[in-house]
Amino acid sequence: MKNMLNSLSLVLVLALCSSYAKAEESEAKEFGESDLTTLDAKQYKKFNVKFSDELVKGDKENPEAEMIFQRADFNFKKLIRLRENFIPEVQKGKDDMRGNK
Amino acid sequence: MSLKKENLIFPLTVFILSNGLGAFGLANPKKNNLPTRLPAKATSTSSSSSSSAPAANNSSQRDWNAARALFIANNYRGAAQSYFQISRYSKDLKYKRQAKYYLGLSLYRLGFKQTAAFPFVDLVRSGEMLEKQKSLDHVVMIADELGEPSLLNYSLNQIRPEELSESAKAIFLGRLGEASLAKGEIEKATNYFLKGMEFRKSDNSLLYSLGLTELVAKNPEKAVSYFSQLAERLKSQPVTNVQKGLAIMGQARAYYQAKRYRDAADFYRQIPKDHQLYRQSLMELSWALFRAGQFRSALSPLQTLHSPFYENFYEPESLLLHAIIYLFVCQYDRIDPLLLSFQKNYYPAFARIEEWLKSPRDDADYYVEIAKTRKALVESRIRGKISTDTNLPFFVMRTVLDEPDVRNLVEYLDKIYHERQNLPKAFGKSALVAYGNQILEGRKRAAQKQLGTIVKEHLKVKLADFSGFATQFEFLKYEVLNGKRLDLKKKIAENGPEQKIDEEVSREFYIQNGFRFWPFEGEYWRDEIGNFQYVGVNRCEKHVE
Repeated sequence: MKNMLNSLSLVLVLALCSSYAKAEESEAKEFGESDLTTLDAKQYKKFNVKFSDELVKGDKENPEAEMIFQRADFNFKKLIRLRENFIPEVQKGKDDMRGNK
Repeated sequence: MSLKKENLIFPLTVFILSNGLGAFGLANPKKNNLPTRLPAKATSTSSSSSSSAPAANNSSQRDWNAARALFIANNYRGAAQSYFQISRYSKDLKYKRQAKYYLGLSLYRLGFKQTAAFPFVDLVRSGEMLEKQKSLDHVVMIADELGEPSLLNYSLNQIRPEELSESAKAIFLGRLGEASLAKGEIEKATNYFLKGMEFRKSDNSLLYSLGLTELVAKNPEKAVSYFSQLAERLKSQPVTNVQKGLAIMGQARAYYQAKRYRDAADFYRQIPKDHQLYRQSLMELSWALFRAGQFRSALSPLQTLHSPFYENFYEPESLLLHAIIYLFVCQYDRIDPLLLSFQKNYYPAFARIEEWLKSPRDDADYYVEIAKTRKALVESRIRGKISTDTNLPFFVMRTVLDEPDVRNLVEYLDKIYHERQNLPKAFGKSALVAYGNQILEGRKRAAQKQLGTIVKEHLKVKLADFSGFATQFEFLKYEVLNGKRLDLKKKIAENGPEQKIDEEVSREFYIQNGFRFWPFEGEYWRDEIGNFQYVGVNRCEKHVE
């Protein structure tokens, strides 16, 4: 009886392991990693990512501090308003046009 | 309005002789801006009153004749007193009403316009049709001359345009045009202004309003033509004439809106240095030159505006413009002092204004503040130095004081003050003076209350404007940082980080080591105002991305 129970638990453990491996594989597929696993070592390309250029580093370096990334394509110049007319000033002059000033 | 004596005396005498005491219509109405002669019914009523005057009215008739004689002899002082007596004590209602009309007319000719308005208003309320018509005509004109909005609004509410004289019709149509323009009804507004000009061709305000309407309608080229007509009309006026300046500025502003920036700049440059609009023209000239791509020229007027001569003025827009131009020529280091100046001067000032607006205050408090500002300005002209005890920031308050509606009310209060001073000089200690004082005191209180309300509203607007400027400065700050970053990146890529020898040494170090520090105390020469030239260069280079 004991032997039977041991063999049953072994089967269960093996079944669980195989299902976990399958799940991991499908997850990897989902993120496109499965293609990488099929590539040969020669086909790997080395590339470096530098974050220092775009990262604004704050004084605080702890988990509470916010990480601020700069959007390189954002142009605040567009938001600076340039004068298109002086209508409000012309309106202000209306009162001075009355009478002799 | 000017009622010429010589146009009035002879026809009036003839008319009175032929129509008796009831003669109310004045000859040559077009020249006098008065309504045409009485309708038949009204004339007969007036005549009958004099012809069928009861025995008890003989004394009234004598008084009337005496007053009339004084009026015809241009003795308005005597006439006003006599008519005042009749309007108060006569038992004959017709004499009473007519005396009120002539009392108003006499006071008007003596220059007591506010006091004159009241007998007229009284007749508008209770007089017969003809008296009402003639009085209303005068009320409209007095209100327009005094620049007093409540009196004008009152009279406009009472008006039927067909009852008015031509001048009053022009004023009435002008006001209708303004109301339409405020509602955005451009075509209607233009029609009212054009119609008004048919009645009073020489009316400068109507022509100016037409120019304004075209600017609002986005037809700047048409606006240019109206403003040029106005400038042509005012050609013979002195160079410091406000209206002449406004006509020139109107042309410049219209060209600016039409994106003809160089033409605009030419007109802005025509405003002389001693003109009331010079400071404003400098800022607008700078905008025009900046938009024309003449960055260095655009910075020159701003050098003047930010010289110590103009340090006590509210100029957030010129600060912003100054910074924007520096940004466009990549002079990032020069933007920092401007940002600092905005932060140092405007943030605390508007914090004070916000606090003041939030606290429980009535109109009188705002009136007191604006009165103090005015007093400080008057004193500064005498002493050459500004000392103020205002609770609100002086440089903001003086700008509020310069707003046209505020200025008009302040000028109106001045007129009331002078009228009050002159009444006893003209009439001694008579009952007429007491009557006038009562009117003037009431008007003074109402105007002060109104002024307080307007000042409060302007401060609210200024606070909202400030918040807009603060946001703009934040954008600028970002752009400056970004520009500096790109510059630095380029330098590092080329040579490695650059460090000046004394970079880390503070001013304190030198002071402690025997050097003396003289702070810049704003030295300037008055004749340099307007002649500052910016000699910096465009530092923009192609950035390495």
